[in-house]
Amino acid sequence: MMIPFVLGYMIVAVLAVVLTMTGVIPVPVLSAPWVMPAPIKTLLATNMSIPAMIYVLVAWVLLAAIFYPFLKAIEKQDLKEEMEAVAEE
Amino acid sequence: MKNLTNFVEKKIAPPLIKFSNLKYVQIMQRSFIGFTALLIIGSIFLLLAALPIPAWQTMIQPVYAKLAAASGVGTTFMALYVVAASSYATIEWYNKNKQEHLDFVAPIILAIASWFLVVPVQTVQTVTKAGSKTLVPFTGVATDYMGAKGVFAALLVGIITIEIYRFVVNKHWTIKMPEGVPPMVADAFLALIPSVFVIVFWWIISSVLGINLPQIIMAIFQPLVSATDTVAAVFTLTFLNRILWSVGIHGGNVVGSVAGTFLSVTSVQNQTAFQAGKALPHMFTAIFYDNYIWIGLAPLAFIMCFSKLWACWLYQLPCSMWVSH
Repeated sequence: MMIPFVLGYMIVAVLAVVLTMTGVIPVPVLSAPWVMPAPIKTLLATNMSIPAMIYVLVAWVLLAAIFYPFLKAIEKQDLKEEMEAVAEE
Repeated sequence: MKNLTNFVEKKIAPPLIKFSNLKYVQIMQRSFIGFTALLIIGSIFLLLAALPIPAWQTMIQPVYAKLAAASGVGTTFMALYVVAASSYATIEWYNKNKQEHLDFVAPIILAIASWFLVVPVQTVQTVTKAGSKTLVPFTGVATDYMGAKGVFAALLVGIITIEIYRFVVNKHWTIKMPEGVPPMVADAFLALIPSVFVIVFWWIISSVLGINLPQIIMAIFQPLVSATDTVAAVFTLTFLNRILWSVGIHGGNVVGSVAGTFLSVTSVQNQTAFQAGKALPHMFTAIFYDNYIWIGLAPLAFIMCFSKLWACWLYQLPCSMWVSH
């Protein structure tokens, strides 16, 4: 699980840097309480900028897409072990 | 996979952990306590005052100045709060790690007083009423180095004050009162001689030698602050954070001890500029990381709902609603 963890966030970081440097999303400037859910927090932190919130949702979808194959691989292995444990009985 | 984990555990993690356990790094980490709440509250006021919706702007026009007045509550005097917090953090470190029993209140007040020696009170001829042209004498402290610019000098003043205080107290160069004296009076006299040492030290540096300490220290740290604002720093810090978490070390704490101070300073400088309506000087501050990069593991919790393992989707369904960090 280390690979999607590290890789996923690196890709998100690249996306964030590229989008901020080209000016598509604004530089967040206000401090919002860290316990607020991510899209709302970004809305507050960038002075109500909609592109920033859309970016967070897109980045969420991207993270889900990166984690999915690794999750499936672990699940396949776990299911196989479960089947073998049932078969042994 | 095993080799990679071993490599990180043996080569990358130990130096970083050793660095974050250094005395002054730990003190620096603790120097920003009690301050986050003020930043958030100031940001809420700033957000209310500067909401970019035209209907809202016309509605709050009469109270705009009042709203904007509280928006600088954390950022304008950040260095002052850092002096208090860093002197507290130093005393706390010594009390916890060296089992000393230093008093808290007197040295913290001493540190704040030393800060006002280093950033002196000045009397200037200036315009005090907006719109008038008459120059009147005005006595005050320049807020230039009271904000984010003076943070590093404030850290230094707080820590050095406590070090001198502790040195003098440990050498027992203090006035000891006889037995029958009440503890409050005895404490006041106990703090007298160390305070004299501290005040004379800062007086020599700022008034006699005329050194502008905050300016020199900011010039020394400016390259480091600028280096934290680069793209390379974003990738390095993100990568280190995640790799350390993967091997079981609190990545946020370790990376925060290395770069946390600089990221705070750049965030507050951005907020001060935003308040004044100027262009933002920095791009990759602590708030950038918080909002665009650490967007939480909610997607992972969500896709676990679709897993065939019943344990996965049973627990993840409620989790995915709330997990966002």
